[in-house]
Amino acid sequence: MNRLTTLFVVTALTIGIAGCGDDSTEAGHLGAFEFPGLTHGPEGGGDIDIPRARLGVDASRSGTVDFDDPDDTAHRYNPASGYGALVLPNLDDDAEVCRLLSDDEEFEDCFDAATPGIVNDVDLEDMATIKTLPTGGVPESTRGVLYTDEGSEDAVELHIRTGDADGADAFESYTPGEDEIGPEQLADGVEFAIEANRLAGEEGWDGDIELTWEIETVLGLTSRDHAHMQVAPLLLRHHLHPAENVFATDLGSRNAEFAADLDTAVSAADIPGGLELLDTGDPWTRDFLLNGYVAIPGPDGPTTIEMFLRSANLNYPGSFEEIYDRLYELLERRFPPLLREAGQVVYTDFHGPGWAGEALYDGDKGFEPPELEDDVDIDDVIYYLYGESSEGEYPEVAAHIERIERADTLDSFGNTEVIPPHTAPDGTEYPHGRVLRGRGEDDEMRPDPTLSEVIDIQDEQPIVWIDTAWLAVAHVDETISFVESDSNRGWSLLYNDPVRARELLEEVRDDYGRPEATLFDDRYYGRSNPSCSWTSDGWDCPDSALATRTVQQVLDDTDVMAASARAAVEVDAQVEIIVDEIGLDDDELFPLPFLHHELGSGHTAYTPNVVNGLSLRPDAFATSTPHGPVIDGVDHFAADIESVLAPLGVDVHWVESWNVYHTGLGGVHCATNSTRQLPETDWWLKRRENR
Amino acid sequence: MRAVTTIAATLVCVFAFAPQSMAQQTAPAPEFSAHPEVRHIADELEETWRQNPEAFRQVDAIREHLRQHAGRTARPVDAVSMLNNGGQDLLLPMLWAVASDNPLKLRMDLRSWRSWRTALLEAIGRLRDERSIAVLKPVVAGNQPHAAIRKTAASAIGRTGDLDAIEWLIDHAKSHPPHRKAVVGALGDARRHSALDYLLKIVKDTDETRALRSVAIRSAGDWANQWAWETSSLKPYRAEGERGRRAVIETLVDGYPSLDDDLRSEAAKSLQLAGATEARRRAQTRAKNAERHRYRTDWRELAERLEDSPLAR
Repeated sequence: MNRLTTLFVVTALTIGIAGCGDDSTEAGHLGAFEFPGLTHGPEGGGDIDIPRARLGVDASRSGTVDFDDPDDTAHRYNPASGYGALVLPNLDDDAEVCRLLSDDEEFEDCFDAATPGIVNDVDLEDMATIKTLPTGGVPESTRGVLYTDEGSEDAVELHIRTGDADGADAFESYTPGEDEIGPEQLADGVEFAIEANRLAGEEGWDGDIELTWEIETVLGLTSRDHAHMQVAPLLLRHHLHPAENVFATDLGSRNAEFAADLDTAVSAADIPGGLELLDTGDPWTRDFLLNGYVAIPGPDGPTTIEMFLRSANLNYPGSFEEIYDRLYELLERRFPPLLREAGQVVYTDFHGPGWAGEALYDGDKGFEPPELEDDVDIDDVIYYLYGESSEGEYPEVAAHIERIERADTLDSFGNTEVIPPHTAPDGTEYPHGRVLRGRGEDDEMRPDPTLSEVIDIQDEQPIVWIDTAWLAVAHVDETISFVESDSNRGWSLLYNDPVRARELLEEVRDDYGRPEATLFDDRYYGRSNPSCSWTSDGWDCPDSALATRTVQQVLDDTDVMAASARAAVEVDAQVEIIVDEIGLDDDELFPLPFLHHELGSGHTAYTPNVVNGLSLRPDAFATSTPHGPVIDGVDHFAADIESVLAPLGVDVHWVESWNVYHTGLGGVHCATNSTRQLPETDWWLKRRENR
Repeated sequence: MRAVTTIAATLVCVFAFAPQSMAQQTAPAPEFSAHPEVRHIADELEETWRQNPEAFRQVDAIREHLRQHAGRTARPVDAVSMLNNGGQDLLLPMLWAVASDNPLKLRMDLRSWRSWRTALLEAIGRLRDERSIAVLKPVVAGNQPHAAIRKTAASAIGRTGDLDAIEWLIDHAKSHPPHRKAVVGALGDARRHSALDYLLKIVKDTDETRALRSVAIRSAGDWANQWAWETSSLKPYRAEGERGRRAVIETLVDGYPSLDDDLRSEAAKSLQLAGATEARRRAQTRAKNAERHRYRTDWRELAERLEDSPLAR
């Protein structure tokens, strides 16, 4: 309680200090207060007891709210980098109910912060705490109200402690700006629990929460205090976080050889959780799942939610559902859900207490769809789209579908990598690294902007863009990879070098005199060859399905050579951007050989893609068996790759990925995913260190 | 509702047609000559149907694989390698598929259909067989709305090296502005001088749109790709290739200062493909002899870009 002697003084102080800074506590322990209007204020002078409004938040990031902590006070309003109170986007599923659902719309609405109240005691741990300074005894009519800023009203959920017991039962939902708190609670101080129901950047929310705590007395005197909170940023995982589990998709006999090799590599690398196989039917485990985390300080250490993002791959443009619905009816095929189905694992396998799934997408990838006339003949549109004769022409519809289908591959998460932590040449530190994404030069060949906007607004891992549109699959992980190393930076960059690949073939032909040496021995492009069948001994195919080529045939293949030269130039342009952004030296760049060919829709690896590997540990890199020419019992490509990585202290674990993956335009990285250990240093402390 | 009736009729046909791949060996040959695009090879198709029905069955099987897998994983299926693995034996069945495949009959969704068409056309293009030209021209000239299909068909025509066919492509590009970008993008694979002349004309023409000039610069680089010219299949045309490479280097180096930043990036890539070392020498010479400081700076910058080219190692 503060005792003032005259109304005049009250008013003057109000004008001077209300609503800003942390001066209210420093300047004579006065809460900021003001009259709603002089005409409504008390008339005359005399002594008035003013309850002091004071909000406490964990601005120091110590894990507790402490009114005596100078950092909690100093960073309450405009926190310095590395400080400021945080709120967790409470998107996990502590009651473990979401996995019982099956529909995408239900999945998207199934998370703790969307559930009324606090789900259980575990859920309570995901809440940040807000406290008010006890007022002591105040007049019966005194009321307190906590407000949030208008932009955050729908983005946060508040709960108020109404009982003394420990746990969730002691809290009730609180509606900011409406629910009044009486003198009894004010006297002892009020405790709120706060959670966010979305990430910063979702639905236009900037992630900043402005809190106003207002106490109004019987005399119409109002005391206010303010605090700033921020939703914890989403941080994407990078290769330097040690792997905990490795995942791939169980395709039965189709990828049994791959799974066995990968399991050997994972075991050899002592990955704690080993290899787990998912039952999605989708081979590209990297592409439909992206791992990140959100964390805030808690009383017993960080409170963390592992985030699993579902890829924004669309089965069709959402605005054209009517066309596609009719088309699938005509095809007598099941009408698919809007999003890639395998991504549902973020709500099933990767969901529960401390694990959250989230889909960030726009049904038209941020493109403006053309409007269909009300009386349009849908069947005629379908005919037009297939290039069959139609009564009308619908080029805008075709263009919209084409740009969405063309850009769709960019939303697979093989196209969202994280460059490990580094300091840029301009001195800017990126303690969590930077996101690397691919796009084309034209505005229509880019990923759905929803995730890019979310990444941008986190302001922690700004995006570096490179051109991947020349690739059929168009992912950054096709030509660029990162491995932990003993360089000064702690990591190195691997990149595709088609020039080296051609040199290796020329060495075999010219230096070893073996132009007839073969690549792709015993490999088949045979999965669809009707003469091939899978047996317990592997693929049983006729020789006509053998993929084998001699060194001379490859060097003489105009299309392979043309595509490989083009790839060398395009990869060089990609690397140049990364080098400029990061300041990498030549001795931090490691070339790995493979050739390209063109598929009409873009380039892809002709020899197995060895850059597209999985960094399991600082000294273990799993990648595709290259199936290069064998000289004296040694695969010439494999030997070169091992010699490139040996100086980094990296052992290569070869994984047979020809079937399904190489023939499906991918490699080991595309086929796998991982959960990773949390960094030893809390993200906010890194931020503070790098201030 | 004409279309509905037609589609319904089509679906009825699906079931009559679907067992084809299973029972092809005993099925009567289709009326190849009824399809104008393949009339010139109708006899060969019929002969192949009798002698090597397996080839038709393989194409059907690869298409079925693609139909089942494309679209489910947001990733294209490499049907090109599967088709090409069958070599020349699959050419006629592939041409037949281009002429006769009906997506609704085959129950192919749009994404699968487009992937399939593109793969077929690319695989046909790699075989560089002049018999394909008559089948491919309607794809280039048709009203189907997908640029990638048109471009791949045009590329396949260009790769045959047939001068008349290349002339037809150029005429088509000139007379069909909506198709121009796709055809110009494909002419880099038509490694005959007439195609390059047309590309360089567009590169130099500042009245052309920036987008088309960019495509033409890229295409000129593909045309002049030194690694391609070093392969044995282009050996008979190597002298033509040498002249063309020099023309690309001269045009792009000399015009470099007049290009904006994005076009310069594309030009630098094309120059690397055409011959980084020769292009760098020319840029250095131009810089040395340039009277205007700005040009000197531009050519020096180009020379530096080319110095670091991976293709100059």
